[in-house]
Amino acid sequence: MSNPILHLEQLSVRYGNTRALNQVTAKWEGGALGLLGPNGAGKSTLLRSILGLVQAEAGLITVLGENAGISGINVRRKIGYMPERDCWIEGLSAVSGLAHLGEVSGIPSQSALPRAHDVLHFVGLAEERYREVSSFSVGMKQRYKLAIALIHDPDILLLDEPTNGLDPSGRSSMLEAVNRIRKDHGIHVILASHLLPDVEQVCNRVWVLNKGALIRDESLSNLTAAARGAKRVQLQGDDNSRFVQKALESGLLAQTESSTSVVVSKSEGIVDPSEVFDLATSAGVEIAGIQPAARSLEDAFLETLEEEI
Amino acid sequence: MAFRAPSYIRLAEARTKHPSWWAIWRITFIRGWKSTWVRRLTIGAIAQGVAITLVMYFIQTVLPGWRTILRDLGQLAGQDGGMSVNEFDSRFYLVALQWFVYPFLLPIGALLGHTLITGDLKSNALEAYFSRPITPGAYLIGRTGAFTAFLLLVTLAPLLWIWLFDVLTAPDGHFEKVAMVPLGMSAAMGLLALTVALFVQAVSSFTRNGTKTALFLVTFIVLSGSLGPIFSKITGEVSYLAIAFYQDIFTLANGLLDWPFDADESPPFQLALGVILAILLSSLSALIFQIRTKGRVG
Repeated sequence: MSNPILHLEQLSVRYGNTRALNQVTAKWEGGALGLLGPNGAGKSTLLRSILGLVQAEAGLITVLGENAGISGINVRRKIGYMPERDCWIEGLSAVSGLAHLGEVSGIPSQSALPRAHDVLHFVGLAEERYREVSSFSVGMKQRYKLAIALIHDPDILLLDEPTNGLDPSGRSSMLEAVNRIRKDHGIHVILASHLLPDVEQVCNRVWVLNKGALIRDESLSNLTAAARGAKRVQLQGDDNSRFVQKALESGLLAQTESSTSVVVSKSEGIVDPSEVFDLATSAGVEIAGIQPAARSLEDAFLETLEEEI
Repeated sequence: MAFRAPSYIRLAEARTKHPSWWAIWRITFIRGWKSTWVRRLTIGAIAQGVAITLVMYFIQTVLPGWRTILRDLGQLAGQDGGMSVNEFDSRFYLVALQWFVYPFLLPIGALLGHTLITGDLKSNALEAYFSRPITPGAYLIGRTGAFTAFLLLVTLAPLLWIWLFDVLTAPDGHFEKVAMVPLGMSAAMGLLALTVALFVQAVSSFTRNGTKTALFLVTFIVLSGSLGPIFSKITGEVSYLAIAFYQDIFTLANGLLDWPFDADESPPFQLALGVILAILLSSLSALIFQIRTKGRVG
């Protein structure tokens, strides 16, 4: 088995009396990881602990095989971080500030400026590169933060709420850019967001955090595929018990919504309507209608949180 | 404007081996130089140093024995102590120090100090810095080092220039009288510049405002400069003069130039050094506290 990109072992972080992360243990093999959770779940704290911006109370963080607590400098060399809050270097133009941050990350000064121009071009700020960042709009500041994360060409990108404040087209462009970085260049991405469609669009794995605890670690397909192929079956009559029993016997998942409505799904794959008709025939019931019972990541997420409560 | 990312290019180039604080030092220095008033004051201080040497050159040309004449005139007037210059020796540099500290060092401190760490605190730049391979210590060295270098550029550099000119144009035997100047002045100015750099940044990290920082500094210098002599007069105890910051600067330089003290008009050297070190260390602690709490660095 390959080395995990990120390995957390019993990670706990505390702010005063508040426990922000509580004994989180998880492994991530790479790709694109979505961090989901309600406000205050510990998403940003997790990202900041990986970077060493907040001190872990206990536990171990290993990034690309290196202990982040011991080799923090080496780990940060490989990580690009897009913080949630706006940030820039005061008194410098966008391109100079970005080149400077590149130099801080170890890019030679003669290469930092051309690199800053390239990255600003990539995030769509080529026209505004000589302006001070403080005069940028919200959307432009978001893109500038992506540039800050990319300037030193990291192996892992940590994005904290990257689409906050963006209009729909800006949001789609941002996610498209992140997808291209990941797919075309193999840069691993960790995306913390409360916007579930963002995670759905970019990530292939999801960690759901709640009150500082990791409550679910699952591939996105596992989390939503069953639901995406689910069918809501309307039955004639008011006794669905035989239908449900037959469905369970066939290895399907059956969830009763009412006496005449059952949602049928598979743990993997899509439920074919012909399977539903076969079930109805064997159960001796008549079907009044079949509809897709699509469940989005949002449904899965809310369901996970409800299970916790 | 939606952005259509044209291409992302991976960086193949090897990383530099420069220490991480170097980039911060460099940009801080460039930023200081780009500030109109900081640049004007720096040029002004250097020009003042050059002007003094030009005057010395002119007098040397017209009146080659001017150093002896100056000493004789001083002795005739009975000026053999205090601040009066009756001989062009180390004491001259103590007087000249004030021509650079008050009009140049303190204004540059107030102008530049509030834009550095405070600017980073205001624009949340610390998060961008500390997510990179740099430690808070290296960051502090970069910012404060460049600021200190600016302050030395307007004080120590012109003084050393004057000293060099003085040594090169003086008759034999003069070097012994000013031999302590480079070392003593470098130590005194180095400590003073570092203290001012840390102090101004610490104050501005709390005020978060250039005008408030400048007002605080003026109040601090005026108030400490008044209270020291007042307490000293009331109690008859010369140690109270150490409350006056300007007095500490002068005493520190005096001691490091190895010049005899006027025990009635200066606080003890150890006390003056202690006050300056206390300001330096408390400013450093305040800055570390601000970086750790406001910058949320664990």
